[in-house]
Amino acid sequence: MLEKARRGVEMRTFFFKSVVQAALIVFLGVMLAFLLNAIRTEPLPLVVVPSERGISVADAFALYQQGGAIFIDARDSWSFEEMGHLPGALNIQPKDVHARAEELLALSKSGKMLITYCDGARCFLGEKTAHKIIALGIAADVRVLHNGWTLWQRSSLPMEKGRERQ
Amino acid sequence: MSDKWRHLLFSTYCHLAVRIFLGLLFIYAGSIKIIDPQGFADILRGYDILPLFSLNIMALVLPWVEILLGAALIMPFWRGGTALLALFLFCVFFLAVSTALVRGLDVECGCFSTALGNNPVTWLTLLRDACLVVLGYYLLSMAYSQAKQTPGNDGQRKQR
Repeated sequence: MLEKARRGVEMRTFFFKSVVQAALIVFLGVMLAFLLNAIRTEPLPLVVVPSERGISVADAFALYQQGGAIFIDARDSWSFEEMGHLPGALNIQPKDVHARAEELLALSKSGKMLITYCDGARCFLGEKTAHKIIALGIAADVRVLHNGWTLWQRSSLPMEKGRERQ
Repeated sequence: MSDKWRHLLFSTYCHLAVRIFLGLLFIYAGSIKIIDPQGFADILRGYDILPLFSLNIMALVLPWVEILLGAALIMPFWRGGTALLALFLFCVFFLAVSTALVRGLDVECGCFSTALGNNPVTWLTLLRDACLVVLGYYLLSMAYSQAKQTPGNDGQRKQR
């Protein structure tokens, strides 16, 4: 009995000490990270600002109505087909950009603005697709509709379900 | 397991070897990310776990924690704390990789490189992380048994 109690105390002391030591390492890491970032030639901004490629839902819809924009849905195909997508959108995930480069190039050459989107404020796929399109030289200016699917639904704008239009 | 293997596994040499291996691994992984914090932040973003505002802070802090932890693992003190932190980090990495795999995200591992298109997350990445979790647990149990043997001395060998 006494032995058991002694073991329990021993274990608690060990873990308490360990947690304090681990916290100290993390604390030192935080200090070093901020200090050295501050003296870097190009410090990383501490807070991420949404990219300059952003476009608002209202602007995107206006451009679409004038026939000057094509939407690119960067989500998976199940979300695209079953949950729905923006009118006339193409379903192109970042990994598919290369395979559909010619199609995108033709659209871009016809003067349409490519607008990528994804779902959720943290979803990075829209931006990643846009980045790949620019990196492959398909279009110089690609816009990203941040949190596009959610905001579009909230604005009660038209949407579609099923596969891509042919 | 035969006594001979058990003896070897729980020997000071094996413990030292694992600590040096993991220590160097952490230092290597951390220093690559320190060179390119922006690249690492982009990779973290791909995992879609952390909120946007915390991405850059995490991308700055995690590499330094890894380097300090790597150095501390090699040093002969704070065995409990280093083992606990290593195990915690390995568990976090394991969970991050498994959520990415389950959701079918096309993400970079960001483990030992910050370049895009080099090391996508696969089931092998998960297997590797699982091995690291086991090693982390090994370190913690070794640190605990050493602390038990030399109470009040935090797992260090008795000094003269």
